[in-house]
Amino acid sequence: MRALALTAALAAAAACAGDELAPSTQITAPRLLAVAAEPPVTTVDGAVALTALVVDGDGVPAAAPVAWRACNPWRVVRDPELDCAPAASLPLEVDATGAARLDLAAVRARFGEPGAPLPPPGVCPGPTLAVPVIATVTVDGVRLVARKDVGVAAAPRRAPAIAALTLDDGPADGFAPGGTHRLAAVPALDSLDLTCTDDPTPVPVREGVRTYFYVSAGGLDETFAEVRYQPDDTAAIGAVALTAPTDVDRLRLWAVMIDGDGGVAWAGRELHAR
Amino acid sequence: MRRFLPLTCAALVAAPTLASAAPARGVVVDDAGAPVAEAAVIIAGIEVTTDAAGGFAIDDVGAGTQDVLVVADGFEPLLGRAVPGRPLRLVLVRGGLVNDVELVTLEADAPFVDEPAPYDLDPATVGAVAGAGNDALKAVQSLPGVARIPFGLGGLVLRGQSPRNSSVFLDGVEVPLLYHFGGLASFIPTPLLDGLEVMPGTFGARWGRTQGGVVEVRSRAARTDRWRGATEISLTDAQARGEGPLAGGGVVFGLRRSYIDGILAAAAPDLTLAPRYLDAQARWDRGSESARTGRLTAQVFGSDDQLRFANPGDAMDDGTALDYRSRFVRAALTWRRVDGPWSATVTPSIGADEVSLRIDGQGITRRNVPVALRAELERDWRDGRLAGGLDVLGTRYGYDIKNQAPTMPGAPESDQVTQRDGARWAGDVGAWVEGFYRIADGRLGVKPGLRLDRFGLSDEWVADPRLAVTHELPGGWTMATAIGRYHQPPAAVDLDPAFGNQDLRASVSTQASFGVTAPLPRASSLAVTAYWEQSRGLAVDAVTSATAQSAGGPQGGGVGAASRELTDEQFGSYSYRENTGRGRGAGVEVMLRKRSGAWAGWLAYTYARAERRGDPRLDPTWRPYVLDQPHVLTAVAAVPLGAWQLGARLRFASGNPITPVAGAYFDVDRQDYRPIDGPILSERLPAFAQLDVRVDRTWRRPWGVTKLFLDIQNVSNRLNPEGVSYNFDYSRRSYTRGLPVFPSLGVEFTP
Repeated sequence: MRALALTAALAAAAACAGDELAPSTQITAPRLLAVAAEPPVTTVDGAVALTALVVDGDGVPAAAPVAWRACNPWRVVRDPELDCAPAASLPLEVDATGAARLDLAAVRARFGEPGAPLPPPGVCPGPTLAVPVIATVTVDGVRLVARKDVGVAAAPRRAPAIAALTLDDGPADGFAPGGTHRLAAVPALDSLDLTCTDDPTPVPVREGVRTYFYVSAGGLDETFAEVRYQPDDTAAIGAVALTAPTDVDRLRLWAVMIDGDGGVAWAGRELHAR
Repeated sequence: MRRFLPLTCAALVAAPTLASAAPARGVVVDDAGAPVAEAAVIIAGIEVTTDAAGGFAIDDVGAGTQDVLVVADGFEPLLGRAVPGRPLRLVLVRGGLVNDVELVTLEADAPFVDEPAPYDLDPATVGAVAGAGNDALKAVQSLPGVARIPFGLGGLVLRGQSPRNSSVFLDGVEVPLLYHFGGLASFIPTPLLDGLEVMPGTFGARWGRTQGGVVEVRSRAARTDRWRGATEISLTDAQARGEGPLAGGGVVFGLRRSYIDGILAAAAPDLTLAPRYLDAQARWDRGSESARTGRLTAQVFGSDDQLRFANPGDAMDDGTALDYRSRFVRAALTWRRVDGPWSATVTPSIGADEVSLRIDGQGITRRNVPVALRAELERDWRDGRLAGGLDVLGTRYGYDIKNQAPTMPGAPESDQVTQRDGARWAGDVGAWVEGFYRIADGRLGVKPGLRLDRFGLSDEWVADPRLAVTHELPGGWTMATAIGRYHQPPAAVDLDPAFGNQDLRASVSTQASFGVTAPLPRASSLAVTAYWEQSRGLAVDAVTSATAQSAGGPQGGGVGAASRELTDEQFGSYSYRENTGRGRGAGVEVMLRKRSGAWAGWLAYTYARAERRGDPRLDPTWRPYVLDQPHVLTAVAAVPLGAWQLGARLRFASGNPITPVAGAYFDVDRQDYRPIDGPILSERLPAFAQLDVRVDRTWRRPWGVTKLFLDIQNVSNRLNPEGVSYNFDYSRRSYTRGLPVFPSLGVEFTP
């Protein structure tokens, strides 16, 4: 409950205490940054291809093999090792392209059918079911575990695409040591599904996206930036501020864009000091 | 030393039967004719304090010659007899301290102890408790049986029961929110109080609808000899009080407002989150309870807290907009009449509550309208008494909620946001009867009681039998044994129309206690009480099996769990709950208290264990309650040094249980790590220890009394761990530290 979390946060803030902890946006160790499902929402008879973005401690993509398994969608998964133990899950095979395949027919056969029919497709998508998928990979001796929920609805949904990754509204290619740069990601408009406004009378609108940024050096003032659309397709494009490092002449930048129903796209750059 | 005037004075000075009312008024002066302020004047068992001009007035003492006792700091006590009705001039002789009074020389019947003695506080004692900031309900946390709350937040954990399971009443009217912002200050300033009593358990049938403990707060009546006012200014708030004769009676009122928002805005213009609190109280009394028309008391009190951004459009770092409001008001009318052995009290009341928290587009607003009636009738006999009453409460529960759905049993997790609003009415009706009979030459007292309740929300009838047996032993020793059953209706917040379990029933606890009280030399006493408690039917999260009392995140312990315990009853936790939880607790409380003398104070030690268990089908393990503190030791002392008074409080408490994090995984959809719990509540935070000091200086002048106080919490700046925080992937942890050294300075002026 967010209200309670806020109360706790206020109490903690009142104490003016707690150690300074490293920000999550800085890559200092191997990370599994994202999992993309294509499509991110499928039908009860559909299939999904899963890929992962795994980087080492310098932010360089790591080529370690990822193990995949699907969990029982009718059980709450709090601890993947207990609630989605390998013996009680559905292992997923990796094809020649490196993608794991999740077949919903196999999920139904393994864990049972949905208890109720899914709501019909429409402009305003109704609630979906979710199949939790666990990805594990070991990089440089560090075991990484991630969870991705694959949506199941009456009609599939699409993942977004990143049209541009900009630095100070230009190409993201270099940085001024010690300088502050405006970092933004722009989605491809035609990759976005329609959703509805939150008003009492819903109006169709492009779904917004949220882009999380990660850097191997320097600092970010926020963890993510949002892009929100109006019914006329005009957009407010948010940005984060990158404080460029002074002690290195290059850094790795990753942008992970997520839309409203779990669609994921990512883009990476190596930035050099100007 | 007025501050620690023994309460026993009032009891030991004989209180004759009030055949008719007669006023007593006058002035207390020293042997040079100068007025003596803050002297205690006790006539016919009624105690008042002299004003700056030495004046006093009691409008309701019996006719005929009365015993008079006057005590004041620096003077010999005065004991004599006087006839009320004409002005009295009472002359004190310098040279003594109150602690020199040999009160035992007075002959009178002290009240027979008819149940386990509650822990009591009076305003003067509260003002001497270092670290409590002149706040009565914060001072309560220094008493036995009361657990410590992290960060100095408010909330009462009595004998291991959740704050939502204990109730606080002001003059018989239940108070919905005790503290501003969870602990900055309580809802009523101490100078407007007559005193309070803490019954951490095994209380009588008079109180119901609560399975934990009860705190009974008494406001004081106005002094009616003339109009007077007072102000108090501290670093956080300012208050004004006034009292005097009005409409044939007397009125006392107070108003307090914080200016933390202004200070923060001036000190840190970038900080735009502005907390503000306000409270107001008024009480008017007229008549005498022994008069034919009885005594009438009208009372209004309320509180208003607000936390919002100073400038519209501002937001937190993550863009979140926030608006928090919590306010309530109560109006009550009490009529009381004493006619020989009969006494009757009737208190109808009405109120309005609102709690609202809005964060961006989601939030909760609750608006309740409680209408209550308490009526009591009592008949005294030579060897006992019989009392009975009605305790009726009807409430309109209004709600406007838009939030994320909790995980329901058998359903997958969902991020779905749901909005619902509406209102429901529910009526609770309670009737109780309580007898008391003295046998065995009057040394043995038996007090059986029975309470019947109908709970409207759960549509059920419950019966709670209660029994107390007291035994007076030679030497002033007293033994008290009590046992009882205590039902509590389900909380309205657990009956959410979309996600609540509409079949929730009342929870119930069975409590027992055995205590011994012994008088000690030099106005001291020792009380030792052992207790045992068992609860069942606790509302438990049906998915996680976390009890309402232990749920944290889901059962994390630490700061989150404590915060949830404090806010759960107001906002709700929005988990689907079932009556499958159990609780148990046991402990020993020791109270060594010195009420007056060269120094005064107490040593309170509590050994307490409190455990909870969720749905046994999911997890049959008993676990510690999230605020289980096996050892709590508090030492409070105050020493008068002329116009100065020095006080100190030392506290030690076991650390609260926490759940260690065993690992974490990355939730790619939220781009955030999720912790994996280790053994639930299997670790404890390091023990808490803190020293608080307080210095008071009083100047008495013909034009008024000025009192300056400096209250320093955590004078040694010990940074006590209050919780655990982790880095983003839960690979490293550190302690969330409690408040550093925190001075509070205030000045009070009474003309």
